[in-house]
Amino acid sequence: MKILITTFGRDEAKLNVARRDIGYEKLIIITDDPEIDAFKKIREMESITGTEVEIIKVDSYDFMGCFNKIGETIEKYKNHDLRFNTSGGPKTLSAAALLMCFNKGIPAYHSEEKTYKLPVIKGMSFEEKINRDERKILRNIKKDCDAEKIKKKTGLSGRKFDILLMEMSRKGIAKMDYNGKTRIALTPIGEYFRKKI
Amino acid sequence: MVTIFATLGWEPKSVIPSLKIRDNVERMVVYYSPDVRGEKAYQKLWEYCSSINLALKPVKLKDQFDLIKIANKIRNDIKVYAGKEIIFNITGGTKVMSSAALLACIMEGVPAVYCNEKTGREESLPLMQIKYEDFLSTQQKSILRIIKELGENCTAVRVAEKANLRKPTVSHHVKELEKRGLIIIETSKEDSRKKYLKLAESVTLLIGD
Repeated sequence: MKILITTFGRDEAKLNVARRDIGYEKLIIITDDPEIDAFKKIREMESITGTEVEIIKVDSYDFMGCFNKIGETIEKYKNHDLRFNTSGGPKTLSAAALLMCFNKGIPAYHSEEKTYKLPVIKGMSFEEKINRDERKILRNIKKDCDAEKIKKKTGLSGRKFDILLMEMSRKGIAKMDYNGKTRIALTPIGEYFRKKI
Repeated sequence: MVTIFATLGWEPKSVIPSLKIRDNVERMVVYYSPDVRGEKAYQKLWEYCSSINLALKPVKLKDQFDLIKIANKIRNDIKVYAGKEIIFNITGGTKVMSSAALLACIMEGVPAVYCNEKTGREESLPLMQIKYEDFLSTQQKSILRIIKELGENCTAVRVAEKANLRKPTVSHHVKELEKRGLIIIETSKEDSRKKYLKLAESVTLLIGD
């Protein structure tokens, strides 16, 4: 089934452009205010064609909350033909959707007066750029963790471990801090992957 | 030394936290809209930066609502700073400006941050620092660039000649790139055996100018 997931704030016009330009059989709206009147009208319009409408509430001030909720929604419907309009709603919600689409390789669009297709590589996930040994390290990291302890837990050799840490830092997954001993802290994307792996 | 890029809205307050929490800021590059309020916000920011002797490079956007144009412009500007430490604050400006900046950051693997409205604090966005085109193989990137260069009536045979690759290799990549939504294969109206390769509209931003 073709499912259009869209972020939404108050601007119905943008949503209508997306509904016009992007094909769908089910509509999922992610919003921080599901009580507004606009949804009544949208449901009414969609009921004409028997299209199901699902509304998901998020807190747009909580960026990682939005990011994770969007990820869960994509995961829930991963066996369907998903397409995502990221133009609606507050900037944080829109940015979270945009990042998650690239992160998971979901075709994404930005509908304003016209619809732009965004250059997402379909089906290509950021996670593919994390190799087996890096996953091993991630699994053993807690926030702000001692590098020596992690090295022991993973069983990786000293040199290999150092190279992997540098590579993880270069990719923006982890940050290193040296204060007598090396400590590793995860970035938001590193933390997201750690929970996921 | 860090260069801070930022999109600017009607007030510079979303930009300032990025300056305050960092040591060794070398300069700031700021994108703002060409209306009166955008100009005023830039003036305020300029006064602030002047007071601390910080170099400020202004970029006035001609059309703050053209997503792809803005993303391409920002991406090209970012490339100038390749190899240097940069960070992009995407909080300010229109949503199109902000989304375009984020797109440019994804394309170039540049760390992006935003200023939380409630706390006033800067927060990092969950983004890997890998150029997005590096998710493709060297041959796939080269094929996309050749299709762009050849323009209309581009066939797999012409791509193979130009890329110095075997036809089956090109066909394999073409299938993969089609599956990934990056190219469109069209059958010739005159000769149904002939297939033309076209880039999907969005790919221009992926492979750059």
